[in-house]
Amino acid sequence: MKVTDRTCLALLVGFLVVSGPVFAHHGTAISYDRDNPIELEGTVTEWVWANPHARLFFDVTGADGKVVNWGAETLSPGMFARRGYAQDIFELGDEVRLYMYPSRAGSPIGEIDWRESVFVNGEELLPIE
Amino acid sequence: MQNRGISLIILLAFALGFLSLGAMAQGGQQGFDKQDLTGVWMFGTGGGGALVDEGIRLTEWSNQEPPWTPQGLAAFNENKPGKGPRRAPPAFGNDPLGGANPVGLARLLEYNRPHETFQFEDKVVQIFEWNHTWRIIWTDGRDLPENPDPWWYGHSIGRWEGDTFVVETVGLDSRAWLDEWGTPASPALRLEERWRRVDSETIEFTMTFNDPGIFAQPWTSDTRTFKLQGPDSPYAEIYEVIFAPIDEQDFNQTIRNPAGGLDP
Repeated sequence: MKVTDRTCLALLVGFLVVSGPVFAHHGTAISYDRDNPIELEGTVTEWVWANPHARLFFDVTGADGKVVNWGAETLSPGMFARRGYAQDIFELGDEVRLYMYPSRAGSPIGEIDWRESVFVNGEELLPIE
Repeated sequence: MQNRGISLIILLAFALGFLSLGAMAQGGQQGFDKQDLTGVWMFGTGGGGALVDEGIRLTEWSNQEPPWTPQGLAAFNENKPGKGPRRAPPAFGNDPLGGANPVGLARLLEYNRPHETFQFEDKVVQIFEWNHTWRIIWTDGRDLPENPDPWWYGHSIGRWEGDTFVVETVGLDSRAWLDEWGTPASPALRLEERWRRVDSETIEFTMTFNDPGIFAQPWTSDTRTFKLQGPDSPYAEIYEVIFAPIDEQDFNQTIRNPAGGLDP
């Protein structure tokens, strides 16, 4: 299921307004550079739907042709569910384009910047803010 | 005939007035029962997990610095949280939650996720979404246990003092932090919660920490408010939120640790 319905999106924004910051509740937010989000495009290699935060892994091919597997911290399954989304938001082989707050340590890990639109196979998925 | 009609109207007005006064005495504008805490509740204002404005706070429970004992301050400094003014990448922290351990009662009540309260003749039961756990508050007149075994969620009894439900808890496992920011506890910790339903939608709540191992005198939190989650609220139903060790380990190895610069 790829939810693009505007009602869902409005619901999503509403959730954020009433629930406040909801990300990285295991305290990982400090690990990411929130001042310098980066845009990435790649192919989904793994999608783990589990607490404390679902995580997305995808291959990104750089300008030099080198492929790097990036990991993205996302919402908890419960938070996704409350927004009307289910486990099949992402599937293996999906082409994704998104913004991430990268790790301050320089590793290919980040937290998805939900203020920006997330595209899955060209469909806008979660333009939260 | 006309006078009888007027008298009847006046009589009805008085009757309605008495009914309204009765409802107000019972609980307020919505006619709620002040001694009814049932329902799904979630923090409105006054704190709760991510809703707390750090400001000058050292803990999530109060704007006032806790009255630390020397050993309490030392324990506080040993705790390395991933949140709050002392936050550091959790890859290098020591938050018990990072190992999927139980969060403990105080931290459970502090975190901004819904809980549901059920009242029975002999006990009050609360179920919590976060960590998918519950607690029982005995109201059957029993005393607190002497020399209780340490439990992550303690041993609790409750009583009504007027319209305030007072809950005392002993026998808490001191390995649990008191909040997300690493406020510590000792085995001597005793908690006193005060729950007061102030209107149909709102409960005011305070927690007093009596722990001579950590605080030089009893220390009371700021007042917080829980808001009733009606049927239209996205939080009206309790979800399953379990931090299973198998998931936590995977998260730590694949996300948390490399994000913080620690080899998985």
